[in-house]
Amino acid sequence: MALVHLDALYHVALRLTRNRAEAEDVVQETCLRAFRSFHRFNPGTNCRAWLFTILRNVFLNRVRTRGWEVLEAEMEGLDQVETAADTHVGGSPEEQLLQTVLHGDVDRALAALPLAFREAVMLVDIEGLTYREVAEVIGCPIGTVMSRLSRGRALLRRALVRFAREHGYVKEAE
Amino acid sequence: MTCAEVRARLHAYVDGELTVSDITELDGHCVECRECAARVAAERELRQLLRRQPRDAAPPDLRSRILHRVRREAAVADRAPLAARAGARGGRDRGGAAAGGPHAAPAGRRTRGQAHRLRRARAAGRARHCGPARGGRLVQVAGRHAGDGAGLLASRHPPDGRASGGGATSDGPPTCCTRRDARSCRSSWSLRRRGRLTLPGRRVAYRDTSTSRTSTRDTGPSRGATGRPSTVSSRCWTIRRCSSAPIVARRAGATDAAVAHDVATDSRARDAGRAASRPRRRGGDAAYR
Repeated sequence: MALVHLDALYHVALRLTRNRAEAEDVVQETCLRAFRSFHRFNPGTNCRAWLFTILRNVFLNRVRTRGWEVLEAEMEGLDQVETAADTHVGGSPEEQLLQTVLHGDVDRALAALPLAFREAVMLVDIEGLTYREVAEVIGCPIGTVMSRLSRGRALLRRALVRFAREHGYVKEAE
Repeated sequence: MTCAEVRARLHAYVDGELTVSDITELDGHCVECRECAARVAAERELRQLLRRQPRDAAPPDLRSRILHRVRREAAVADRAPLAARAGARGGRDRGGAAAGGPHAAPAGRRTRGQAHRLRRARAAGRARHCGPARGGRLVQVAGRHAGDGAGLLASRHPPDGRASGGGATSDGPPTCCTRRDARSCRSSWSLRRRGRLTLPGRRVAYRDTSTSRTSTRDTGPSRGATGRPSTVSSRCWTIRRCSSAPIVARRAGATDAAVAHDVATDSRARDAGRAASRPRRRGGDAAYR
């Protein structure tokens, strides 16, 4: 069953770990755990969300065994972007920018997001989970998911604009 | 709806998480307000951009590696009796993962009814070997009758002609613990009632000290091939527990309600958690010699 979603699991693991070998280990561990605890799966609920929950736990356990520094470093960004959502710039230059942005830039921008925002953006925007499902995966209220999502997207947008400036797609004045 | 309200609901709107009435209101606002319409369009564009990203496919060898590991684990789970499996994993609450396997190890002695079922299952091709067990080989019998899926003993060759008791493990002598009074039974029963012991279908063995007779009983919802209630009638038992199988027993003739009453009135039931975590005594097997 988990193998049907293997690509999705690997994709998410890769975004979380940012390392191919690590992602493979995490996915393998996730599948084995899912196999062992399949009786805990609630039929009728989203199987992918259940698998993502296991994957996230496996990932966090691995991070913890390596020390808290990584997680703390990931969480540091949370305070710095409190106001990121408010500095939204809605306008046509950005729309043009998004047409021309490179795939590599999106990867870089996503990878630069703090973990809390990255997972919310990834699960909603890329994996298409609902807010409720994401809240269950992350283990937090829906309101938190929404705020992380909006901040994460704002940060992502900012990073994309920065990359576009570096590439010369958008001029500094805009 | 004001622009501030739209901003607050922007992401939920783009993600389709709003109610129909909210969506209608927001749509109406966007028709009038160009700035908000631009915001919505920008958010949609970002979302589309993320969705368009090429997805990294899992490497082909990862799939085969996982399949290999899962099959190996499934094979091990199929071979080992449930009690031994739960012991090996170090937790009694994980046994549910093994649902579908033979749920009890065989007793050393096979009843006539079991022998009949085994013959019938073999003739119909419903018997499946699951590996060695104490006193013989374990065979799983598939079918639709009560107790099907239970482990049956395919061959009987006890080393000294005595029954080997219940809860046999697949290799070597079982590690047993011996408890001498019904109090601990009640504790275990209360644990079970409180959901602390979650494994269904365990085999427990009793030794009646007055007759020196050992009999077994399957506990839980599926009673297995020898699922008849135990014939223990003495007031004092030696209860033998194999591997990490919990002791689940009640006084002879007591109904569920009576046991529940016992548990409720027995103050020791509160200490049941401690009773369960008490280290098992090794060498309890000697009681049977």
